[in-house]
Amino acid sequence: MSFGPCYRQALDGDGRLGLGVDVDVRLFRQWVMFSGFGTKVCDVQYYEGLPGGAIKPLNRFDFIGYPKTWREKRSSRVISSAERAVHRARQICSMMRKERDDICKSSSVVAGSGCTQPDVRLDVRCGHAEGWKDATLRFRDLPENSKLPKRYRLDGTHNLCELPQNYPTFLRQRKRVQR
Amino acid sequence: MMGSMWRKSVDYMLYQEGSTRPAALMRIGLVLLVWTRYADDFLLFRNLETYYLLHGVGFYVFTTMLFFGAFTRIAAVATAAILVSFYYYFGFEKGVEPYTHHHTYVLAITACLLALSPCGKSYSLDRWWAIRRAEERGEEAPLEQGPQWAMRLLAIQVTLIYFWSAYDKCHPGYLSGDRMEHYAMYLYVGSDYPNSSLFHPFMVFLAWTSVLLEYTLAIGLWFKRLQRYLVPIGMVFHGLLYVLLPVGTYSLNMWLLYLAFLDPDAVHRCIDRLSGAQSTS
Repeated sequence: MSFGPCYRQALDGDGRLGLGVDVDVRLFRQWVMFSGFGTKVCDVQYYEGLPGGAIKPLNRFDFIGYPKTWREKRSSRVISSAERAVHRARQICSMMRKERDDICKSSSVVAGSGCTQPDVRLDVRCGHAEGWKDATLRFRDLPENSKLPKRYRLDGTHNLCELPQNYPTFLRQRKRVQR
Repeated sequence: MMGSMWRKSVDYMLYQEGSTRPAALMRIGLVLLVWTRYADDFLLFRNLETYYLLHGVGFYVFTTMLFFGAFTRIAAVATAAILVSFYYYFGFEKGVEPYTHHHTYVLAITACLLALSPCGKSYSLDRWWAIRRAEERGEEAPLEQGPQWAMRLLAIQVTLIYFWSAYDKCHPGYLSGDRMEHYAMYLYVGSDYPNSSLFHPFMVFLAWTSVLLEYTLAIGLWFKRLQRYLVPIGMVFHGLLYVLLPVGTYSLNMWLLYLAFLDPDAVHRCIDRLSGAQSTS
């Protein structure tokens, strides 16, 4: 009863008991309830970059096609990872691009106005057992001519609409460590 | 002075006897909880492999015996063995991850420690048969009395749970309110951080309150004077946990385990008063 939590929590035991005796450390119960629960949630805020460097908050639900309500599934309100938040930003980019194209095609528009490139910024931090962590996209095996940096901070300063279409190919997949 | 305190403590922990009603109530409550958790998983048509079938049949037979208090000692030991097997064999060996959760362990350890207690001496068929035997011999009905050391072990288990889970929370990520924000956003609010300026302070308050409360319960429940306040507070705490978070049978299991802290004879008298009977303990 006492050995499990003492060994695992206070002594940080890894199952090597000495004299060549190794045991599966999970056999000793530790009391770390909900230590990993709820970490699959990100605090997400989208912005629209305006000419002159200003930014305006965007409501992602305006672009999803349904409002934020308690009737919808819980998963519809939750963005679980930075990658998903970026994916949503890219969807918003596509919709804004489509709107822009419609405006630009309209003959009533004065040349140039409303025909700007969409600019969607993302400020996101994600849940972690140690608290909130700022999110960064990490790329690998980038083509030589790529303008993407290896680390792409998601702090609301970059326009995600400028990411190339094939950016997910270069996302570095992190291995999850089972404890 | 120290010597007498030590003797008193050893006497309290090891040699004290008292009513067996709290242990019996725990026995009945435990069966209801393990059925809530496992019964559906072991319906016989779910899996016809031998090990699964044996566990399933054993589970139904022995927990039923335990519920009614028929051959309670055997039933309690078998139930404990089955629950330990669910936790270790199914959970780790067979990879049934939900069976490795803390609430399943609490069920198993409760069953193990309860098997060491005289939980069949009250509210059981065993008692019914014992009374009939006594009547046939013209003797008085046996007293509902037994050693309490297994109940003390259950109380120690509760203390360990509170202490180590509070210890685990003593890190900046939790005490800063971040982890509480994760729970709130993951389960309720969603990925849009609430606009209210009270949200963060409230999460910090909840984080500190939960840690302080767990440390207080770990120690305070042992003191009779504090039980009057801490038992209801702890029960409300676990009630809130049940409705706010997916804790499974854990909350009700902890409610049951609180019986281990109470004076067994006081519980006995209380039940007598409730039923209008004269105390025989």
